[in-house]
Amino acid sequence: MANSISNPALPSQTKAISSAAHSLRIRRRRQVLTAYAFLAPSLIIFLVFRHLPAAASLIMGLFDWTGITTPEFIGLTNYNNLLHDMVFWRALGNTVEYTAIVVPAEVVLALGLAILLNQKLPGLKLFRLAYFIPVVTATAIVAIVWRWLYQPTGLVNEVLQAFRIPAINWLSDGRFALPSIAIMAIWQHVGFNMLIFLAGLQAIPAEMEEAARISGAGRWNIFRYVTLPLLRPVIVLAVILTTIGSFQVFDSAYVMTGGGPFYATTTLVFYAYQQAFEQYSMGYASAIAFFLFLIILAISLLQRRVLRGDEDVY
Amino acid sequence: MFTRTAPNHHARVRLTKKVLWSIPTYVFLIAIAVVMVAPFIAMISVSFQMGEGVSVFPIQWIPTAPTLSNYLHILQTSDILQWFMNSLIVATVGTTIAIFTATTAAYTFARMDFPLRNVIFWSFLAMLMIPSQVTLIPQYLLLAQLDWLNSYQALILPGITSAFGIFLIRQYLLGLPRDFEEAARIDGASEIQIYSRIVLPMLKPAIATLGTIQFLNYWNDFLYPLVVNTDSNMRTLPAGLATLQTPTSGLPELLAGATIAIVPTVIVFLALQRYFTRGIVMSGLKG
Repeated sequence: MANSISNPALPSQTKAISSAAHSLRIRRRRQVLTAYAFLAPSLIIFLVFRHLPAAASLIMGLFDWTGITTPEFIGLTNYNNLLHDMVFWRALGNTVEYTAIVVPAEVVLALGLAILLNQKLPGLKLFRLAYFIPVVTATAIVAIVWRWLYQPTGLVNEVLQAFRIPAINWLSDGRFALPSIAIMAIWQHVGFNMLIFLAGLQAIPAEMEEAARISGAGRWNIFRYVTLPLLRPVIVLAVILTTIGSFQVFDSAYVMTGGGPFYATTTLVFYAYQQAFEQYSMGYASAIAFFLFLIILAISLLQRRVLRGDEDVY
Repeated sequence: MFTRTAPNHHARVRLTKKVLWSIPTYVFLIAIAVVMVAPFIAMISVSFQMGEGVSVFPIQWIPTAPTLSNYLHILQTSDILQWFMNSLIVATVGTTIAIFTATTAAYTFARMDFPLRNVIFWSFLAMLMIPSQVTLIPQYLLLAQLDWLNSYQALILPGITSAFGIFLIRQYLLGLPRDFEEAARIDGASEIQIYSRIVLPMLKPAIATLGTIQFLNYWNDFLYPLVVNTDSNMRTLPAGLATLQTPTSGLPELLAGATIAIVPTVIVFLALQRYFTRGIVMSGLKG
């Protein structure tokens, strides 16, 4: 208004300035409205299909609900039952064991492959492509193929026998069922981590390794004291992403073994699925899902904590 | 003196070492490549074979009597063609809409300032930390309430906004100059015109990346379509195939179905690999 202009000279000038300010405000308001309009589709979808369900899943764990009848508030009963549920603990243990197999193997293998592929050798791009093909395929579909490969008379055992190792009942032996799924997961996702590591390696300025080599450092020392520290953020990222992904394993457990034999491959998500859509205990399943969410949240926050110290590496 | 031969000698030793090291490297890389690709080759090969014991190892890696009967049979006796169409519709429509919602949202975050901007941005960011399995049951119940189970919209809607996609495009947009937009704004163009005529074309590489990733995400999604579309003729390809436990012709026919399901994704990937790998790299480096 006129008060915001400290020294109004002539009335005509005042009017000119205030009308300029006025049209600026109109333009500004139109801009804000446009911003909200552009944001609206994403915002609405997110609110309805993400934020709302996320909040709901927290609350649903407090109810006993078949999904059809009216829900019954039972407070923390579901969570209490979880603590005493042997299958739940088995599922948690399976998921942790699965993750413990998959993450180190995938990260180490992917790092090795990335280092090998980082050289200037001809044809390396073809290898990159080949390693990535399993990544883009649907886990459920490749699980069908691997279920066939893991049969007692399947390809995996045939390869073992070529090395004089006796055949294994991969999917029906309680000791090997979970590792079977883990091996398939490593096979499928190694290419993904390899790509991330490749990008990380290529982001390292060549001068650093050159400088180390000129001052006489051997290849191993260069790797250990120059490359690896500079790769730390990328490695942490790969570990976190792979860990979070591993905790969500479902497709392969469902398709390959149906959670068996005798709960050997029942994972957290698989158990939640069973409870919700086979046992119709939506409330109980929500409690399991919420528990999974807490675990993944903890891992994500851990990542931020660990990576914060890496910001001044360069 | 020494100086004339020494550098040549060192260079030659290094070159020889490099060539010698590269041999085991190639051997190892080839071995891994074989492991990566062999399951697919076995799958394709057996899908073209028929008869007893054909799926039991040792298999014929190159079929001696190739036949299309498995493919014909599964096309006739199962809903696989319908599943394929469902997946195609959902993935194409969903990806197209996803591109629009992601670009508009990213445009506001990257270029505009408005109240609550940071709050909304952080709430989108928070979405990335919530695993999809957590929202699965409430989403299912919501769809049941809306009577949208076993529908296309049930499969398309939740995926048409992707927090990852918004951040991807925003990151890309932040690296682009504002000059063209500013000039257009001074000339009096409306925001929609600026968005569609100037910003969208500039975003083409990022859009290609997002489109590829989103398409594959839609195609390969399993748990959610499994739960939400239970009628056989509304199923997507992975869910439909997984529930096809024992086709009448047994394993080779199932492998034919798997081949039908996998081949499109591999083709899409090979055709658009540049965009896909770039997307992975960008998301990786950004954290």
